Amino acid sequence: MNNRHVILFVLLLLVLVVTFLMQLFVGSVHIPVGEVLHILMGSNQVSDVWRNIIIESRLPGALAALFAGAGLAVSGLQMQTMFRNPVAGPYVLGISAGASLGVAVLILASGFIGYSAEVHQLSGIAIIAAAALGSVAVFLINFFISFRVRDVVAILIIGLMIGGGISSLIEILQAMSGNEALKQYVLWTFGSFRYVNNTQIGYLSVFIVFGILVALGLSKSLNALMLGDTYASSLGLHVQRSKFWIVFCTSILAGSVTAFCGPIGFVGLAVPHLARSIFKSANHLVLTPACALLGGAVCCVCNVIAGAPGSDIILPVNAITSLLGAPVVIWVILKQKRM
Amino acid sequence: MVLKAENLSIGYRAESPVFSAIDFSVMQGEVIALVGINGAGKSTLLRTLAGLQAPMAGALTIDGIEINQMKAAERAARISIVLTERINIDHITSKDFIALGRLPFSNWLGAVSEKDNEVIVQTMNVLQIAHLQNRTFNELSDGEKQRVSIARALAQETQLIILDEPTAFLDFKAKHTVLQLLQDIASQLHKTILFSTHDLEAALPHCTSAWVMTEDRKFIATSSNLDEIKKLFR
Repeated sequence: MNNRHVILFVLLLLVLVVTFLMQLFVGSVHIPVGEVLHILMGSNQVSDVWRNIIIESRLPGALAALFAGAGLAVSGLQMQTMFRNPVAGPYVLGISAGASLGVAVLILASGFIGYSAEVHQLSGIAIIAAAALGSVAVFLINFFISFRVRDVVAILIIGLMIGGGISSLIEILQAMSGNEALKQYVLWTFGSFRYVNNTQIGYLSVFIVFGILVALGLSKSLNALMLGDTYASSLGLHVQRSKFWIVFCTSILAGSVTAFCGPIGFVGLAVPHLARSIFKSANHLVLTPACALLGGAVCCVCNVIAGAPGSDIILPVNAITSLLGAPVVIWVILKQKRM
Repeated sequence: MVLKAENLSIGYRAESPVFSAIDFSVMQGEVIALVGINGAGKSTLLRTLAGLQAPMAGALTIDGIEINQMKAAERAARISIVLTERINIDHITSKDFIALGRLPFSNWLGAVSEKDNEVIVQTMNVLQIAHLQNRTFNELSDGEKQRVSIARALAQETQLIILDEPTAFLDFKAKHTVLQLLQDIASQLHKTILFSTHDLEAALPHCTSAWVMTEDRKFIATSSNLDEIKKLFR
């Protein structure tokens, strides 16, 4: 960490604060900045409707965007280092696909046997449990495969195949389900920060903060793994053990975000590249906090855009992150080709 | 430091080892070239010496301790390696790259200490690469990359440094520079250096001895005399 990094961290923190507050100030209902500040200070001289909008809707959504972005970006950073592949992301492990399958089974299959109304009511805890189960299942499959197959490309292809297989299962479930269940599922796949309530934010924040702290503790292992398994082992690293903890950590981060906010693409893939370019560093002690801050800021901006300020429409967050993220990924691949 | 092998067999299956009956004893400060045709088992031998794969039979010790019995951290304190595989790390500076050699000494977070920094600066001076320290590893020439890679191994402060074909991608001038540096490291810093090579003419003048892995599966430790070695390949 040098002086340049310190300055960049301060700037990034400022950007994060500004983008976070933007989410509270901007929305489909116009609330004057002064009133928003009064509500945040806990003042009683404000309309209850406005207070409700800020405290029960905008604030949890803003926090969800912050934690989700931080978690996805750190998880993507770890994947790219572990697989030594610039286009790896949490999706490569199929963790999000696994979570989607869990949710699809819950919403679509239970709708199929006539439970849809109740599922809609319990959606909170039920969807989270289903997503968590799905991601843990895929995590376990991947983990055992990674013991047998050491080739990085093979693991990536197997990950893609697992994802493909899971998508097919989901499509079959979709074909068999009724309109109401299908609509619910599709809405979840859009990804959103604004349906996360204040209780869920509590859980999400605990998972993400824990995951990022573990990731920071893995910095040394990740730095060694940049050189590949052989060098890492020659530097005294217990490679298999380190990889277990990395997979554990990414699963917690990506799995919990997907469970609470739906599948959100490209943040985990693109943000680590932006962080490396901005900080011009490969050291994970620098990159991990940088990804957390930058990922949080990116998702805050996406959340504001998704709210389509000035209109009543809410756009799918997944579409916004993909629109912003895809060019970054193309840029990364072009840059690799040049070398 | 003494590196010693007695009746060592190397390979992947005990019933059909790649190479058997390897005996040698290496002292501190020696520079040894490992030569042999492609597929002779040079890489397998180097991997076994580095503790990255287990011997099939026989004894292989460093200072009397079985290399295969050592914990990864103990090995890291005694043996460092430089491989041929191309490394592609975005945005890493040469200095940060060399700093990776200090990981065995760092705290659990892997932060670089004052002492680490001293060793890194010293190492860069030995290899005459201080001017490269802030440049990105990916934009260095092949010769510069090789010197930075050797600096990383040297920063690990091990008695034994093992290199897999360190001159493979280098032009004539860079090849000479790297070989001279290896010789200097051995004689001035009392390191033991072992490297595989196909480049007999260039390498042997810088070595104290040579190991030949012949086509008929004999392991011969000999002097670094070019004519003697050429006879073994007839």
